Amino acid sequence: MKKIFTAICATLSAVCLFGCTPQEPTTTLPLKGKQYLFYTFGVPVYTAIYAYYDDEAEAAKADETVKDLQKLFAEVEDSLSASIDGSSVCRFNEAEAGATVEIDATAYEVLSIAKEMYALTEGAYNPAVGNSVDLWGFTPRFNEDDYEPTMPYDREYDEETKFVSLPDETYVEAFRTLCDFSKVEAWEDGGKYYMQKPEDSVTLEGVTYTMRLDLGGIGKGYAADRGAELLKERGYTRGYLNVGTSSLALMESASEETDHAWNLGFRHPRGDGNYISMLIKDECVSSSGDYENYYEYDGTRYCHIIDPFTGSPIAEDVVTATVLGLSAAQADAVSTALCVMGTERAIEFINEQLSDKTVVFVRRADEGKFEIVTNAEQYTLIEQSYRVASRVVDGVLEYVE
Amino acid sequence: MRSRLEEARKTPLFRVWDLVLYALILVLVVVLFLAVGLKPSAGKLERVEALRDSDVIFSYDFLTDTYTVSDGVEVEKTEQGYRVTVRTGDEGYNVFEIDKGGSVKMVEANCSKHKECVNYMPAITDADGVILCAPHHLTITGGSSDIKDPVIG
Ligand SMILES: [Zn+2]
Repeated sequence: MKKIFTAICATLSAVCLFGCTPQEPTTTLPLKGKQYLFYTFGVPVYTAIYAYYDDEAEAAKADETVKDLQKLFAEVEDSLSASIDGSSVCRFNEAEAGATVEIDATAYEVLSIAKEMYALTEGAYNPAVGNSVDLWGFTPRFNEDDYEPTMPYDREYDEETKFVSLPDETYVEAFRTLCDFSKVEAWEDGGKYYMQKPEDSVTLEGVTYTMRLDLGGIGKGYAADRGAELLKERGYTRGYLNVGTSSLALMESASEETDHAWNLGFRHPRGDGNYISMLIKDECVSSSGDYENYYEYDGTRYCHIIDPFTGSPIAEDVVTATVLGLSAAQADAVSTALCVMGTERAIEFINEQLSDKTVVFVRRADEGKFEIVTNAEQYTLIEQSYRVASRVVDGVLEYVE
Repeated sequence: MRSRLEEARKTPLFRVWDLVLYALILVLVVVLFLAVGLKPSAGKLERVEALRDSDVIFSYDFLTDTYTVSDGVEVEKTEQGYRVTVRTGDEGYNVFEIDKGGSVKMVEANCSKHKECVNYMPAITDADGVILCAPHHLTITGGSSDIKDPVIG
C-alpha cells in the first residue's frame, strides 16, 4: 500500500513538473530573444519574442506564431485598407450617399472604437476625412512609381518639392463638408454587420463625391492590440509588437536591471534618434506626428494629419503626440486628436480625460524652438535643446512659460 | 609630516594594502585586455540576407563567398562582388549590390515615387544594418536578429 502511495506521489509530482509548465522545457535552457519583421499597412511590423530558442519545438512554435501574426495582420488590412478592392472600407467609400453597406466583424469593431474616440475627442479625431487626405496627396497612390493625375482635382507631380502642388480651395472646402462622422450609422443584425453612409454629397466639375473613411492609423493600433492578445494566448510574456513605429504593444523585456521594463525611445520629430526615453512594460503606446509624411511649400509644412474642422493639414503647434496606457487603437486616435487640438485644448483634454494616462507631446514654440509638455513622472531627456514646458500640480497638468 | 609618512610606510599594514592595490590594478589590466582583445568583433558584417516578409529568399556568406537563392532572385557577378535582382509580382523589382569588402546597398527599384530604399536607406556595413522596402515587402539585413529597445514615433 505504501509503495502504491509513493508511486502515485511520484507520478503526480512528475506530471506537475513536466505537465504544469509547458513554457519551460525540462532543461535549464536560456531564454533567448529574436526579432522578426514583416509588412502590413505599407509599414514594417517588428515582432520581438523571448523564447527557449535552443529547443527545436519552442523555436518552431515562435516562428509559427509570427506567421500567424502575419496572417492576422493581413486580415485586418484586407478589411480596413481603403486601397484594397473589396475591403469593407473600400466598399463603404465607393457606395452612393445613403447606401447601406455590409461590412465584416473587424471593420465593425474598429468603427465602434472610432466612434467612441470621435465622441471622446469632440470630433478632433475623425476618420471621415478620407476625401481630404486624398485631395492633399497623402493616399498611397501618390507615392506610386507611375503616379499620373486621374481625379479632376489631381495635380501634376512637382519634381522640385517631390510632391504634388497645393489643391484648389474649392475642393478643400467642399470635402470639409463631407466629414460629419456623427452621421455614420453601424449596427449588427443576425450575425451580420452593416453601415449606412450619410446622405451628404457634393458635385464638382461633373463628379459627385460622398464621405470616404480613412481608418489606416487606428487600424494599425487595432492590429497591435489583436497581435498582443495572440502573443499572450501563446504563452509569451516577454517581447513586443511594433507596428510601423506608430503603434506598439509592449510586454516585458529580459532586463533584470530595469525590472523587465523596455527603454522606449521617442523618435525625434525633427532630427535623428530619440528626443526622450522612458522605462515601460506591459503597456500599449501610439504616436502621431507631422514628420511621417509631409511636404513643404514656401516654408510651410503640409503633413498627412488632416484637421477635420478645416479640411486642411494640421496648422496648430503640436508636432507630435504620444499616448500610453490606453489600447493601441484608442491611443492612436487620441494622439492624432492632440495634434489637431493644439497645446491649449490638448492640455485641457488631458486633464479632463487622460489624467490617469501618460501623455507626451512636442510643441512648436517661438523662434524655431521646441518644447515638451508631459504628465509623465519619469523619463530621460535626450534632446537637450527641447525645454520641458510643463509640470503637474495636484494631479493637474500645467503649461509653464 | 614627512617622517610620519615614512614611518607609516614601514608598517606592515601599509605594505599589505599596497600589494592589494597593485594586485587589483593588475587584475583590472588583465580583465580589460581580455575584454578588448578576445571579444568577438561585435556586429561585423559576415552575411547578408534578403527576406520577403519573414521568408529568406537570398543569403550570402562573406567568409566563404557563397550564396543561396530562391525563385524570383537573379545573381550576376560584378567586379566588386554581386548584383542581385529581386522580382516582386509581374513588374516590381529591386536591385542591390554586394561589395565583397563588406557592404551592401540598394541601387535600383521601382517600388515607389520616393524610392525610400534606394534614396534614404544607408548601405549595410555591419550585422545590425537593415534596408527596408515596404511596398515590395522586402528586407535586406546584415543577419542580426537581436532584439533592440523599441522606438515609437
Ligand atoms: Zn523600395
